[in-house]
Amino acid sequence: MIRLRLFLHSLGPIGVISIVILIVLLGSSLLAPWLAPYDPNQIRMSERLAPISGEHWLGTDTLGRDVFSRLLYGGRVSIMLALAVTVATMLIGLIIGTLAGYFGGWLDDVTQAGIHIFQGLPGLSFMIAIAGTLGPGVESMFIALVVTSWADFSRVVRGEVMKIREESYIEGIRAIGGNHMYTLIRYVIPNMIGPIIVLFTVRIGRVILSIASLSFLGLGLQPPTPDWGVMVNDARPFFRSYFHLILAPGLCIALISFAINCIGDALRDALDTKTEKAGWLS
Amino acid sequence: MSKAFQSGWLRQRKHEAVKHVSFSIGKGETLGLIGESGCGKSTLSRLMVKLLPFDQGKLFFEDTDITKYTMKQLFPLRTKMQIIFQHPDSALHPRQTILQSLVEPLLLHQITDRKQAIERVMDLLAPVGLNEEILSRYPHQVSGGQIQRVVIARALTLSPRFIVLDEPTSMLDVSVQAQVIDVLKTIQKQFDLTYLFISHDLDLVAHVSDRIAVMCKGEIVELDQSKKVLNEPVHPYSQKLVNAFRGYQTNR
Amino acid sequence: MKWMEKEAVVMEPLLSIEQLTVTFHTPKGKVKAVDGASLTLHQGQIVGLIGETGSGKSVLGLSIPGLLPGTAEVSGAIRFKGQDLLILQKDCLRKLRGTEIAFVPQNPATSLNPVMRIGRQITEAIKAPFSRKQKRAIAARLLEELNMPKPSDTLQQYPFQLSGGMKQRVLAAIGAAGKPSLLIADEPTKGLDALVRDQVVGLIRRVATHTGAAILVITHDLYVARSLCDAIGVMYAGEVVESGSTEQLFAQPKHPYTSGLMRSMPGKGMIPIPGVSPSLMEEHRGCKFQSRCSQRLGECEWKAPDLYALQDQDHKVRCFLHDSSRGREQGVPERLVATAEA
Repeated sequence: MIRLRLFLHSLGPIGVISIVILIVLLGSSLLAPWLAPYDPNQIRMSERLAPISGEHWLGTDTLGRDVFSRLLYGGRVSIMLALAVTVATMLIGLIIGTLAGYFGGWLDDVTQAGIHIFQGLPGLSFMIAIAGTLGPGVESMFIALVVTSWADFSRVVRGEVMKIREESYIEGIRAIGGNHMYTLIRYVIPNMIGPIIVLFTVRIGRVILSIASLSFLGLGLQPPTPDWGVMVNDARPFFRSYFHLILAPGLCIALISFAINCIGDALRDALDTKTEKAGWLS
Repeated sequence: MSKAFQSGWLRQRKHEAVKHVSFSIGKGETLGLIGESGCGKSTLSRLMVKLLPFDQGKLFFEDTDITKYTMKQLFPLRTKMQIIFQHPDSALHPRQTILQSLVEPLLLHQITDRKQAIERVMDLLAPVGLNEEILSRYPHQVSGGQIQRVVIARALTLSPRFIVLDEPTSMLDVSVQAQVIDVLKTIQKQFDLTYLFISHDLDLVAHVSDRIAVMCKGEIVELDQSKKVLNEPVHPYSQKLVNAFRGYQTNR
Repeated sequence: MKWMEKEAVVMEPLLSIEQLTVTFHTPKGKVKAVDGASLTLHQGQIVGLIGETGSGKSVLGLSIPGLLPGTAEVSGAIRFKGQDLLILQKDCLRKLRGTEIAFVPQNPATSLNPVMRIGRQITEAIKAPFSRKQKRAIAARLLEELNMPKPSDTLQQYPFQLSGGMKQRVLAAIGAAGKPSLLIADEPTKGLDALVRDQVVGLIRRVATHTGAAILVITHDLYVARSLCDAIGVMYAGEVVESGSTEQLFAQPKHPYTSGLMRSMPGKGMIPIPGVSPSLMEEHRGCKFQSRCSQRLGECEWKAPDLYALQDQDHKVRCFLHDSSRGREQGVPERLVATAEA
């Protein structure tokens, strides 16, 4: 309990607000089956484009589906997919970046070349190309997203490892007899936890945005899946007269990536061991 | 029994950091090593505890040729030779408590179980002038002088025979430096240790060492009894170093 | 000659710091980094401020040109040429900072603008109304005086092209460029080895002779202080515990801390002072050095000593052992005196 309070204190007000937003959005997505007043995919042509009312809190869309229900369901796939993509990216990035940064030499040269190539490619276009070639769907989106984001991650991890490698405690544990494996697992990785958590949150936010963009472009999740990106696309033809149809999912996308980014920033400050704030870690 | 170290030709990126260096350190002796920054003293210190590979020459430890030892062969030897570095602020794992750092070497070498390791650490606190309070703290909550004491205690847990001290007090204040040097001298007697003491402070080296080696551009240019090097340096570079030091202390 | 020096002293010092106290408010509590410190600097004098990590010497140095963060609470007085810098308007102080007072920061590696040529960084500090060409000539001459190998080439270079020692010289040149009457050098020799340190000491001396500026050198290195300074102030736990001429201080250190510090030098036997410096967060009762002092008196525990002047008026010591108003002989502990009287 004390640790939780310390943690919240160390995050600061914006961090706490962001956490609340995130909990509300995640919670409502998770509990969507119980919270949603209607089936998100039930089409009622008689109630097309109904205005906001007590019956339909956010009105209905062009096929008469309840927008509020769709909104509740709309985060599920994106968030799960974003989590999966980020975890996968992180693992790849961590392994490549750590090995390259720690051992250096030809291994580093090779990975650096790879990183430069992938970073040089225009992210979104490349992503669209991959998703387009593989055909729309969750799997192709997963592949497209991982392929376009591992390089960034590796580069940051590599830089972080190279910094840590120079610290005397690394030479110290080597002199005591720690082998490379021991040094990497016990000394190098724990000392990057801060930057990794921050990178993780920032990434997740960006991946959610990318998923929304792909879905909006018709390359990601396909209608009728209730998804924020798909919903924005669906609402596009009507946005002059039915602005709320585009605003509601758009706001959800913006809020969640904003919240996650703020949490990332707050975590970065909170994880700085040198400040007394990081007491909750120990 | 004596320790003989011979090493030569270290090439690092085609830059010869240490060239044709030969010397030996007798058991229980303190050999001082002085020279300007960048003269190769730190490289030499890392060569001697096999933290860096070298290109030519031989290295003997307790009459055994350890030049070609592999990592596996070196592992048991790591308990016998230790090195202590200059910077207290990065000497310890920042996320481990002092106690964790102190018991780690014993657990890594599977010498004792955790309980015995803690007992051993407790026994070593007094000789280095620390008390139990410090054990639960993290490195950033501890002063530089205390960190260096912790690092010394950590080295002692493995009952080493030989310790390389790479400018162990250059980042400390004078009065704290005096305290740490005091600790080093006491434990040397108590545990029968051999030191290689590296510093750029001539007075300090003279104070702790039996013999002094003067290093210049990767070569040892003079090696003799401390008093002799300090009072009647022979090599022109040693003379320059001693004069600069003397001049800087007194000239006004 | 002696009376002329005395006359100069009476004439009014260039800088006098009186009862300066600097407090920082941190989440964990108040930290009194400087606690009632007093120090005097005369025209053309090189004064050293020595002390160990956390003794408050750098904070004191930063407080003179008003470079402390806004959260610091400062009281006391810093009189420079008669005006109190602590109550001076901000823009007046800023103007003084460029012209009259120069501050040479601690770290040469990070104190220069990495994307600006050296020449521009030096000429910017020259306030006099000269043409660009004249300013560049002055900058080149400054570097030449500081033994820079190729001054005119250096002006065209960027900081990353220079070695650490060269950057140090550039910083000194920037400090000297404005022809200040007071130059503050914060730890100018930190992390340098003997030969380079020697050069920096020579460098500061040259700045002094060329500009006639008074220099305050903040250092933890007793050798540097000894070979460079005319007078020295010793700081301990935020207080100036002893001040006097360099000869007096090194020949006859009066405060138990100063003499302990001298004894712990490698060339002087390296006898450590037992214990550690007190925390600056706690409220102190009595003398701050008492717990480590071998000559402790009864009253040290409850009464804080003042800065007492010795017979030689310039030598001041914050220790009851040297309180002449007590009518006791210097250096004799109270207990001994008491038994002698009995």
